[in-house]
Amino acid sequence: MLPHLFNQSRRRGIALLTAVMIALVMSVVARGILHLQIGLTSQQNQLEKRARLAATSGLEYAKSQLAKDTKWKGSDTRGTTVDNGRLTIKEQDGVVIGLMRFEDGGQAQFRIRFNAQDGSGGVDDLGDPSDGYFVDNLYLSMNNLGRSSEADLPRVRSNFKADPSESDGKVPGRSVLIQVEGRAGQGIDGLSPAQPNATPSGHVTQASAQAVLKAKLPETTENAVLQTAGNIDFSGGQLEVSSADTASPAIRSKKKITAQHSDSTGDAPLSMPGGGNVYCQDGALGLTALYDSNQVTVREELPNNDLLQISWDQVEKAGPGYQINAGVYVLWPGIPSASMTDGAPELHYYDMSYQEYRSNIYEPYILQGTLPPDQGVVVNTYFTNTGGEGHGPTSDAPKVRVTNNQIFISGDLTIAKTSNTGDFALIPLCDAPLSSSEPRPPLSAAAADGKTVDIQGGDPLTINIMNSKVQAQGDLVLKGAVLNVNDTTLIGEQNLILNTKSLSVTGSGSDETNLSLYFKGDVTVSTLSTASGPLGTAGDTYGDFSIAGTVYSWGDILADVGSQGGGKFEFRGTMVAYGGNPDDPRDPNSNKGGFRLLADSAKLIYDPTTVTQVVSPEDLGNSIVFTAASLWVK
Amino acid sequence: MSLPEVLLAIALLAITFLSLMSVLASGLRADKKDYVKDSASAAAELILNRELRQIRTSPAAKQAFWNSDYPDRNSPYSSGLEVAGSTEFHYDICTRTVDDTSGSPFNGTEQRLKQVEIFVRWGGDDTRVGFGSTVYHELRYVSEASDDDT
Repeated sequence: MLPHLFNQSRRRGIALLTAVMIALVMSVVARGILHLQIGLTSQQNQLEKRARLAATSGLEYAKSQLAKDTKWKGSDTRGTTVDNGRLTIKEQDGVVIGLMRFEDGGQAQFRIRFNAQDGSGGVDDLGDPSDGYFVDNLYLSMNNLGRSSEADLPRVRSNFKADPSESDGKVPGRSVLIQVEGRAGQGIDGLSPAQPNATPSGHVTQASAQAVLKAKLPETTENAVLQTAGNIDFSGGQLEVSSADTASPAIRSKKKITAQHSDSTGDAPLSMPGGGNVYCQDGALGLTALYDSNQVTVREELPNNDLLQISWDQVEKAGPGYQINAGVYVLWPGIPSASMTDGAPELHYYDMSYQEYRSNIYEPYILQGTLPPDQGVVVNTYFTNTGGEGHGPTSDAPKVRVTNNQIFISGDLTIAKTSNTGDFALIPLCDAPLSSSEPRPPLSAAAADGKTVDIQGGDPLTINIMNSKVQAQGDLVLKGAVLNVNDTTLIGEQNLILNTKSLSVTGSGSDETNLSLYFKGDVTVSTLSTASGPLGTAGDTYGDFSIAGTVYSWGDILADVGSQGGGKFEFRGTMVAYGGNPDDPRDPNSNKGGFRLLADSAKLIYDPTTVTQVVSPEDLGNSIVFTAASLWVK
Repeated sequence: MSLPEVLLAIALLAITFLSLMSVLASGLRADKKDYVKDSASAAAELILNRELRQIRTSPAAKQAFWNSDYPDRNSPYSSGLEVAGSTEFHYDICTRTVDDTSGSPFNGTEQRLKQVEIFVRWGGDDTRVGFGSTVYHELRYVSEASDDDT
């Protein structure tokens, strides 16, 4: 028995020993696997980072090229633009290939393609890339800086060719979509500067950087949402200033800045939630407002610091779209017919300036309750008073159209000066008073035949302006009860008078520009909606006013949104009351260049990119910079 | 069980145990190095973004950055100490204007490109290379025509 027991005990000992050893070996193996996994993860993290760094470096390269040439789309005639041992960049046929070398010998690559690789011509107006430049990725870039309207980005198919029949999204106007692919890894380490786009042989880690870039002027002085040569006067509830840019916002006046309650209860609050600067004459002595000095820094506006200069020559004018004659266009409500049923509204044209219309037609007749003997020329449907070949709209796509009480303008519109005037006015018969104290016409006016016209009633004038530049050589007067605007710039060689009780503005996106103004004279805006009835009738109201764009006036900017209890004023962009011709030396004694705002509350948001709605990026000069309106790095 | 067998078993156990300890120790060191390297990478990104934002918002910093090159780690554009957790990272930022193929600054004087390198080191010895290196290196290019935090 003893030998048997001994054998059993020895077997147990061996089993125990074996189990311990196996456990130990397994622990070592498990630990090794874990260590290997951690190491691989860390290595992969580093590769991913290098790929991201390559992608963002490619984006930076694109910004430099775009600042030099706003039409750039990857076809620099130099071919190889950089080759210095650490960085090689080659461009050809709308394709950019970059190869970065790190200190440890590793490499990373970036690739940008504007080439749709869809054969000769096509959506990119390029042939296919030559050998060595074909890009096997889906990241198509598009330069839309030259257009103010959005463009369709064609979808790239799995064969890496773009298909214009299907859209992969929109590229906003005055923008560039840059999509950069970044790659790193063993496969990229093996590439040579001579052939930076060769097929990698080995592991490759990919990243991408996608950005919608917008051009802007670098601020040489301050990032001011509002810049004026004269006083800034705010009357209402509260004024808030902020920035959509990375820089702190500012408001600047060469004279004084005042914010006061319109109900005479004292100074109104001026807030800058993210902090900001106020520049005015005499520093803090020139500012009258309630403000928190921890938030608002008040500085002296130095005489030598000029305001933002945008000259008339720089302004992008209306293209050779549609042209109509200058004058005053008045929407008459329907005149009762012989059967006493209301007729359709009609557009009546007067070949005279707006002031002449006020003096000769409106005040002596309509305001007195009489229809004028001069009823102008009825120009329904297509403003056909212009006549003549080349002026008429095409049958399938009229640029200007009148339908009952609605006026539609799409595309660029220039106003041809007549021998009498360069003004362009679109107004209702009651001529929409700009202030509550302005006399208003009676409810109806009698014609010579005894028929009466409902002056203050009827369907209100609605003006729709879409993707347009409207340019007048004289005053531009728009007085619609409803004003619908989409991506539009109004340009004039004299004053702007804009009155609407309901303003609806839309852009290519929620953060896009939608209405910009450039006038050599004053800019006057009102959202007053007068109550129907004689002067003094209760019920006058103010609508809100909210736009994004650039507002530039050589004269004053006046906005009446109703003081306390009235409407809200919101503006994003840059607003300048220059107080003179920006091409001429400033006259320090000029009394022009003031800004006056009456509103229940006002928000001014600085956004320097909106300047490209007024000035084409290529006319901004070589000092432009690019900022990403949206950016994804992954 | 004979004495030689017992001795052999003990020896085997000892060798296995020592091997395991050695592997564990080196593994821990390597894991810690990977961890610190990842931290250094994050610190490098943080530092560079901070410096580049400063360059974009301060005219003086912008001028200093674009008008001179600092390619030498012994005379860097910027250096300092960044603490992440219990690790101290010393960093140097070196810069060099990118030239085009003719040797002139790429795109002239207002749309230049700058090569920006950051060296982040931890521990006292940054002369080791290869696997034992305690320096993290990052390279990127920035444009003079850029006005955001790409």
